[in-house]
Amino acid sequence: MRAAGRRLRAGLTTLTGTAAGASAVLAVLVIASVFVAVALPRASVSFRTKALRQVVAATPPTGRAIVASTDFTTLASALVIQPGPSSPGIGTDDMVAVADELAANLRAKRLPLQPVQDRWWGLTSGYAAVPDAARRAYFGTTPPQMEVLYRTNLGRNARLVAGTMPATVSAGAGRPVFQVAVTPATAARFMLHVGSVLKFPGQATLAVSGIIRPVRPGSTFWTADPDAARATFNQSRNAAFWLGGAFIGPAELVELENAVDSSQITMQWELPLRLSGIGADQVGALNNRLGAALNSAGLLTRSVQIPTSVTLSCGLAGALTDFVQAERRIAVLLSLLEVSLTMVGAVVLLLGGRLLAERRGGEFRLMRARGASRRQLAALGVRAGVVAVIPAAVAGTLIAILLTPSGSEPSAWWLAGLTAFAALVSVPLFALRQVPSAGLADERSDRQPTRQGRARRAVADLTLALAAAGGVAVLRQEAAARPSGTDWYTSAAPVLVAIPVAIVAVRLYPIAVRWLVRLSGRRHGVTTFVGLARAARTSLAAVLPAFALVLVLAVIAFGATLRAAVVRGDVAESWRATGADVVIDTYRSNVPIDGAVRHAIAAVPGVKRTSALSVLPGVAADGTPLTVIVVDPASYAALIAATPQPPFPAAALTGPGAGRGPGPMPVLASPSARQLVTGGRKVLVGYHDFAVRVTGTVRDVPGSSATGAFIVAPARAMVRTVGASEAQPSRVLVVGPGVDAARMRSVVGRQLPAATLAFRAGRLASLTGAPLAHGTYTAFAEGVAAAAVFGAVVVLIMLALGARSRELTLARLFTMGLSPGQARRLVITEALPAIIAATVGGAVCAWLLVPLIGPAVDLSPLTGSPVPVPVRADYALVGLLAAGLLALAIVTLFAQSVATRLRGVSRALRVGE
Amino acid sequence: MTSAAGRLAAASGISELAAEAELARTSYGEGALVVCDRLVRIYALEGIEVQALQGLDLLIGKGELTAVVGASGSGKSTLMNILAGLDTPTAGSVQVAGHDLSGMTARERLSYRRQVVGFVWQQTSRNLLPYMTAWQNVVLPMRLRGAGRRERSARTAELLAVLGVTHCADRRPDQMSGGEQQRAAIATALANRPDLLLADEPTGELDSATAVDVFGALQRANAELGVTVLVVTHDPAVSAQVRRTIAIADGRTSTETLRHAAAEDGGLSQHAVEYAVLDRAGRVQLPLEMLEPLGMRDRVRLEAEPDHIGVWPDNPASRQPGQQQPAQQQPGEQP
Ligand SMILES: Nc1ncnc2c1ncn2[C@@H]1O[C@H](COP(=O)(O)OP(=O)(O)O)[C@@H](O)[C@H]1O
Ligand SMILES: [Mg+2]
Repeated sequence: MRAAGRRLRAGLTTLTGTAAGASAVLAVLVIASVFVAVALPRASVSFRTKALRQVVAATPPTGRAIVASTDFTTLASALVIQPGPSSPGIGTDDMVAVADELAANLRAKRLPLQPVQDRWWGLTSGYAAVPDAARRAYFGTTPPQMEVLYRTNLGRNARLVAGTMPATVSAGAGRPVFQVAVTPATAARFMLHVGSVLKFPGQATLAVSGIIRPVRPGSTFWTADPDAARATFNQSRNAAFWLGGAFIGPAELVELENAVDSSQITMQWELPLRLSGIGADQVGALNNRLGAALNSAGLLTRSVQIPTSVTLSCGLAGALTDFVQAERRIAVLLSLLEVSLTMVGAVVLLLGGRLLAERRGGEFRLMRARGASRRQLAALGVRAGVVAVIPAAVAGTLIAILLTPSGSEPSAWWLAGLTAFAALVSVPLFALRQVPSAGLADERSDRQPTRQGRARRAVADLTLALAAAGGVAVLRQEAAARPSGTDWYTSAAPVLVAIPVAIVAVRLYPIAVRWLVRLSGRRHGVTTFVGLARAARTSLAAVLPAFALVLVLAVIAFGATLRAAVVRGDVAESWRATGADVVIDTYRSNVPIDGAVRHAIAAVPGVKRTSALSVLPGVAADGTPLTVIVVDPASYAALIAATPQPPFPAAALTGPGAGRGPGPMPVLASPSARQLVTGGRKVLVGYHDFAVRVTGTVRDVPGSSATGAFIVAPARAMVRTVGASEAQPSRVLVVGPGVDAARMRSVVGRQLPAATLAFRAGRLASLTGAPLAHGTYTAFAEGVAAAAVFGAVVVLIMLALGARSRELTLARLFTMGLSPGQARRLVITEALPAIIAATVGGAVCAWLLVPLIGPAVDLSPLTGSPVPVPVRADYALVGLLAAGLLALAIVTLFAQSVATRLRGVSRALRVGE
Repeated sequence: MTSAAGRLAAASGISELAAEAELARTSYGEGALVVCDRLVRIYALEGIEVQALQGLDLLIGKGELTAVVGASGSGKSTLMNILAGLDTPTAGSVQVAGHDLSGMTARERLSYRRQVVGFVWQQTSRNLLPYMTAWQNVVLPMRLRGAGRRERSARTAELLAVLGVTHCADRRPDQMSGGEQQRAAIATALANRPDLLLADEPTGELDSATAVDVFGALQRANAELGVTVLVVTHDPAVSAQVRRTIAIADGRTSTETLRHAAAEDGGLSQHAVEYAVLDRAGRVQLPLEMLEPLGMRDRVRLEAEPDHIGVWPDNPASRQPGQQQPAQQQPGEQP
């Protein structure tokens, strides 16, 4: 047992070579990056799925079915049936055939349907007044109306509570008598019981044979036609009446068709969709299929003699299309984040691979000297990589799947594969860099970089920068053309912005440091000078990792910018929707808002300002309805000024005519009201009309919820003109940062019963709590956190890569009498310039990102408002995280210098550079 | 070597020198295993050039065991790295066992490292992979070359036995003493039957007793396996045991010491004779301690004698033919 353990350990050391620690680091990095690559897309699918399920659940059951409808005459002519008293009619078999063909058509369009037993179809006679109904069913003198329904599966959807199910038609006095069943609710309204008889217009008499109670009243069977389950009261502009339905049995169908006005008969088929397991990843395809099916699956050819079309509809279709559009916009944002983070992860893995390869460099060089070919070394590197990477990638994937069980997303596998690939190639790549191509031990230091080499590098830099710029340009164009464009090239936009910035930073950095060296040589102490001189001497390869930080900071800036924009958008929309922190509206109560009430409201903790206004219906001189908003200009303007909304032009309402003075009343008009009231025309409110003078234009009066044509009038003048009771305030607006909602509710409940309260905080919570918005916000927060972690890893790897040479320098200087304090200053001045340069690069990225990718980013699905949200860089968060990375670097450097001192100078010196 | 030097010594006049050079291109170092011809290696460090080798000539015959000595920084390691195929000269030519090291492709260089040279460094830790046993370390170069399993184990067993580290076969380097590590390293370097074994201060990190031990292993390898050995050393005890010692100064071979074992009075005694090196252009570096007493500066006068060349100070007063001066140059060994 122990021997086996030892052998296993020996085997492992053989595989990990001289760098078990670096292998472990690489493995941890792979776990983290693969986790991010897999978990983010999966998490995004799962919250989008949640949002989709909410959309589906919010649709009434009948909206979740495909409804096919047609009228009797159309179908009869397609079946070549002549309507008339002795016509064979459209039988149940014909309807089954149509149902089957429809189902087959829909299945051919690959729409998921519920099993057969959940489908039903039927026929409706059309409404007709039944004058001999009970008085109770009359509304005033208006008799109720009734429809006769034939439905399949009545037995399964209803339970007989009295009598028998309708089955036969008997010949009555010159007109057939149809057995019918009604629900208890209908029976109660029409005062029906088993045995009751009603004359139905046309040639039918309805005899109640049974009372049936709906089973599953929420199902499409009972909700598709609300009159089926209970008599309903219908009110329109010119009539009001009760409406009920009665069911016949299948054997009565053909005779009913012949007995009633066949032009009024409509037929429908309900085929519910199977949506229970649907995920956001399938919704786009489903929406396309649904659209295609609604357009073409209604064509009947096999169940009829002459091809005909039935109308197909689906209540979900509109909501689904809206959702797909919103979801797609969000998917663009999320893929920007996911791909960028994956690329950052890949860069971090390249650094990890480099760390591992450099730690094993001595070993690789020895192998090379002993006759290993480049291929053999690469194979060794691959093996070293595989040992660290593959199990780690599997582990990262498994952890991600465990934590995000519900979202399957193919892009996750692509991203994970890309990540693992970067990790796998990084080790052999850097292993080969340890042994230069000609197979020489040292890099040829007797060759200065040639002009050709420099030109080649400049060309490479330029190509990379141009490719990056091209990607951003494509992204912007795509966004203008179609909002759904998400290919990987453009998805990497934040990284693409970072690449040219990083290149410029890498090029400028040595110049800046050399300049600093010259500066410090004159003024500062020796440690600063030595530190900077070392920084200036460090090769490009050694400082390159620092510029991976530019990428990291760009992704952080991107995430932070969008996160802040979503927050700002939600806040703006909440102000737009409510206009104040609390809006109290009394339009349904008659309790006046007097001074005492306003006092009580103002006394609620957290209230800063209040203002009352009233919204009155008015009429313009030409008869057009016009909303008149009455405000107290001073308090209203002060209240609005305390919010982030545009200021209210109170001064325009305080001219002559506003108070006691003569002349037309000064008002502000909405753009559409301007036409109606210009030129001293009059406005009618209640029984008073008065002349107005438009002194300004307003688009929006926060808190009034007025749209379209409205004018704003000063309260004092209105009271004088139309009287205090007519101009009585109906709303109170309240502004205050932390209004005590519970107290406000209780005060309003006591003082103004039946008043409604709208809290901006509630609106904001519903905006930010909506699954799509909340999920996206969370994804961005997580993305920023992940990028910050990657940034920390980059800093640590960078310091680990430079650790050996730094240790040697310190050890040498310690022997010359360097104090610990000087050592600290030295390591900081050496290592920090690169990090600071990278931070500056990151800030430049944050600054560039806004105009570059801002226009391509559409946040409207997140803020729930069509008003575009200004995208502004969130420098604060970027700066905070950059400061955190700097602090981490400083702490690590101190720890390294202390470790060198503790481990002993002589040892450090003996190990060699 | 000697024949070439002899011919050069006989040459005089520029046109004859040119003709000689033409001839030398084809025949210099003929038959020798290692031929370095005016080897130059310049390191350029941030604009400062360091001439590590400045026209070094060197010939080493097959089967020889030769020591290289010289002050630190004189270019010994640079020479060894070039011979090992780990570095290339800036100018000059170098041939080892018929391979021209300056013009090799990467593929040739690889097969050269696999078949022609073996290398032992000073740091014991740089010679062996720390996580492999001595056996595995010796096997590694053969596996890299693609040797068969049977050959590998036979060769490994043989090498470990010759170098006296059979008992360390299953030990990892950290379980072996410094001497054992270096002997295992020699075994590793010899795994692919190289023609030339290079050892750069293999005893530098060892105490003198262990150093003798390791040097003994090198001698055994030379004697029993027939490999040509070139060893850099600072240890006089080591160089005293070598028949030929080459001293390098300022990137050139300066002197050579040959030790002859002669039978005298029925016993064996050693004679060490120091020679100045005559380079291919006919240049000789005369030791300062010989020049100064005679006030030789700037130029000297040469006189060819039937069996030697006389060197005279450029001093009109003392220009007397026949007067023997101590600064005499014997030709190298007689052919
Ligand atoms: N990689 C290198 N880069 C720059 N200079 C070097 C390098 N290797 C050696 N040198 C210089 O070349 C000269 C010879 O070095 P080396 O061959 O190592 O000497 P030795 O081994 O005799 O002590 C020294 O001056 C050394 O500083
Ligand atoms: Mg050396």
